[in-house]
Amino acid sequence: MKHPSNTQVSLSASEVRVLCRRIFFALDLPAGADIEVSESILWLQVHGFSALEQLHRDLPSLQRKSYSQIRFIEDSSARFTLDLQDDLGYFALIEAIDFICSRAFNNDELVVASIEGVRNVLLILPLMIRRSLNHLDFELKCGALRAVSSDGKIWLNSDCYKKEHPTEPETVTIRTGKNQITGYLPRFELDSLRLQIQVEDLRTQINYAIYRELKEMAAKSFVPSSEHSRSRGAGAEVDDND
Amino acid sequence: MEIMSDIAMSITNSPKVSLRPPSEVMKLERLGCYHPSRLSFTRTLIRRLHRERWKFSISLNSLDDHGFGDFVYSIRTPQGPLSFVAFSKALDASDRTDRVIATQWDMSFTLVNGNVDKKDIDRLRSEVPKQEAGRMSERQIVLSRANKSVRLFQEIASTLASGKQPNTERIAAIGYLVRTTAVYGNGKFGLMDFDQVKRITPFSLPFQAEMLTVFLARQFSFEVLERIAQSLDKRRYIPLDSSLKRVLGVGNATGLGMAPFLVGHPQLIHQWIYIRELAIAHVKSIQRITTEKREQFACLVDKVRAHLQQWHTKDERQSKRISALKNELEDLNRHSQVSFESEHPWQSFCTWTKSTKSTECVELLNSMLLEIYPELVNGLEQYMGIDEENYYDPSMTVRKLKDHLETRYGWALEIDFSDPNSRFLFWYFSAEKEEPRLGHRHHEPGRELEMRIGVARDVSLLYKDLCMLIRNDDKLTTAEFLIQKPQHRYIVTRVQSLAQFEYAEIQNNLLDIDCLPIDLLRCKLALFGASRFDPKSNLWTRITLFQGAPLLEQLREANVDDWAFSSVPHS
Repeated sequence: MKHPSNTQVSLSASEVRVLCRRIFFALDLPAGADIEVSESILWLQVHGFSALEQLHRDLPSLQRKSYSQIRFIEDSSARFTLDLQDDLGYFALIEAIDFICSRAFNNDELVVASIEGVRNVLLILPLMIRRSLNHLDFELKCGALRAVSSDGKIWLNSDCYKKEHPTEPETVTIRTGKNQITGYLPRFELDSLRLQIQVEDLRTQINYAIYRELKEMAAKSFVPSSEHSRSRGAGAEVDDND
Repeated sequence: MEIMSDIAMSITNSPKVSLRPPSEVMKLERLGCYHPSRLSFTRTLIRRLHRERWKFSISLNSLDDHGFGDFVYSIRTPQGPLSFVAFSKALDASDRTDRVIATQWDMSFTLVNGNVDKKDIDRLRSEVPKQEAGRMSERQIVLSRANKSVRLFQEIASTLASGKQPNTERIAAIGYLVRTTAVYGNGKFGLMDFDQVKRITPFSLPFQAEMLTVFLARQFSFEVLERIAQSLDKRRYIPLDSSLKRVLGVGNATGLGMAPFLVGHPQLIHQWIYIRELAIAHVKSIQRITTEKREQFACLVDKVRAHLQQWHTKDERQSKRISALKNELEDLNRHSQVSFESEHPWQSFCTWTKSTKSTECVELLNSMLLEIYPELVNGLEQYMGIDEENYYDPSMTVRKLKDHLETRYGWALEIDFSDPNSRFLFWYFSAEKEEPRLGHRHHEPGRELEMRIGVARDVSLLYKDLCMLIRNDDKLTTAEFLIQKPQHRYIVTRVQSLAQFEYAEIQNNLLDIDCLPIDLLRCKLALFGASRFDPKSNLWTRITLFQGAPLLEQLREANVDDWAFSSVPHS
């Protein structure tokens, strides 16, 4: 089948998941981070965000494998600032979110954290949502973008969907705590946001050319075949067809 | 998340006899001795087809004199229609291989949600025979293919064309007309995701759709066979006797791909093993064996005896096991006739078996006991699925994490990974059709791309780093630990996620020089319902599915579930 440059391919959720995992595996992202980021990309993709295209744009930078360390600028246990130092957000962001959540779990008051140098703000949404399933509410603000998660539900404003690939790193503020956000936010504020409902269609459309390039990257997670390895694959020893 | 105690409580009451501990059950040596049981997926599928009165009809049959063409079974279920679409074509003998790296097959199949029209079939015909190289659609649930058993297929066709029924010994020796080499589902190559399958199709449990596809591939193999036989000699041709059809299953060649599945889906594995152990514990908890059950056990011994007589393999290890099993079965038979003066007679019987017989025999007995107590076991089949979710607690202290490893992963911490033989193997995906392969770490390239199969090694490395860190600060959270040691994120998430899933981990080192992948395959295949394991090496095995199962036209019969340990009747 010919695939002109504007052809769209319909991918299953499983294909997106495996594609991303293999790309991050090939990029040598720390074991486990690859799974977490892949799940996040899948979540964004099936919720209408172009996370795969974003990943495609980020590939050249990711291939440089220069993951930065988080820098802590701490004020107190419940109020602090983290600096990702321009990390692309595929790895350091996970560490930052985990750190914030661990503080929230161990704190009775609302934790307020600023994360500086964020390159991929939208990725925070699925990362926080997964953690909010353990009764952790959160509110995220970044410029005009706003998201709230409480009791397993998420509300987003329209700026989330308009979010373009940032040219400069941004600062994100996260408020989070154990079942505390609904008390903190007036109801009308939630009503001004759009409730994100459960997706019915897990499939995602992607430009074929982009898909092909992502697959090429994913293929780097495979070991090149040789006569020797071929001879040691399952089934190599027998050729009867009974 | 439905945890173990919830399930145990939901089944009227908990068993009085304890479940076998994971340290006993989750060993490769034992998993590699599993036999199919009434909880196996082939069995639960057949019971469901009977219970819900699914209807099957042929809505397209364009098979020519060579058995080539298109074929569709339309399926009516209470939850909506399905279509099994098959394509049969000519295949050069040189292209016929069981390996994943094959690119052509005799037959290809897909299971589609809903009805199919001509346009659908045209599209499917252009993609399904290409298998991995094709592009599937969101309506397709399963994709599969099969090759003919060359000698048996042609031999039976010729025999039927001459007006005779085939030699039953040949059927017993081979056991199938066609052999599948892959059955794909869950979103692969564009198929429908399992999350969607659960929501909008009749299949809420894992591998039910895949098993239905294999079951219908078996039925389709009879259609092709009889079409060819008929064309050879229309005058003398007779159809294959249904008693012989019944003892023909579908062959399957399974390689290393199943091993990463078992390690990669620990919660699902837990669920399958746990439910099986729960069922065994329920049977062992029985306080009195009725005369009826004793008789049923005796009848089953006869069936198993005949079954073992027809279980052939050239594999030395398995051959010895079968040979020993034949003798042990007679011992079981004799021992079952003595009356057990104990509170839980089956439990006593199992204890005696465990202390005097092989592991293969112990697991055979477990499957036999499950067989004679459908009233205790069948209800558990609904719990054979689980929503797999990772649970990660970044606030857990490193002290607690270390304690957890010591409690649950002691088996891994005992392994000496400074010994090169303990990390001799590495598992990887080859660039050649993504075929899973095994490499020797110290001699072959590619170890930097190894699959995450080495749970024991990863736990051991994590434990070492935790011990180092705890000396300085044992109140550190997991989140803080992972900032310092990001390489442990995968294994930390795994051990935290599996805290409530006791049977999730295979308690062996899968990187060890002595690891036998064939044991992993046997475990999963037995849970599927496979029988007649015929290992071709330590890396792959041939098996048979649905041998003895009812035919489509027999699904309404009352004894539809009575096909365990089947054998081919003598001529």
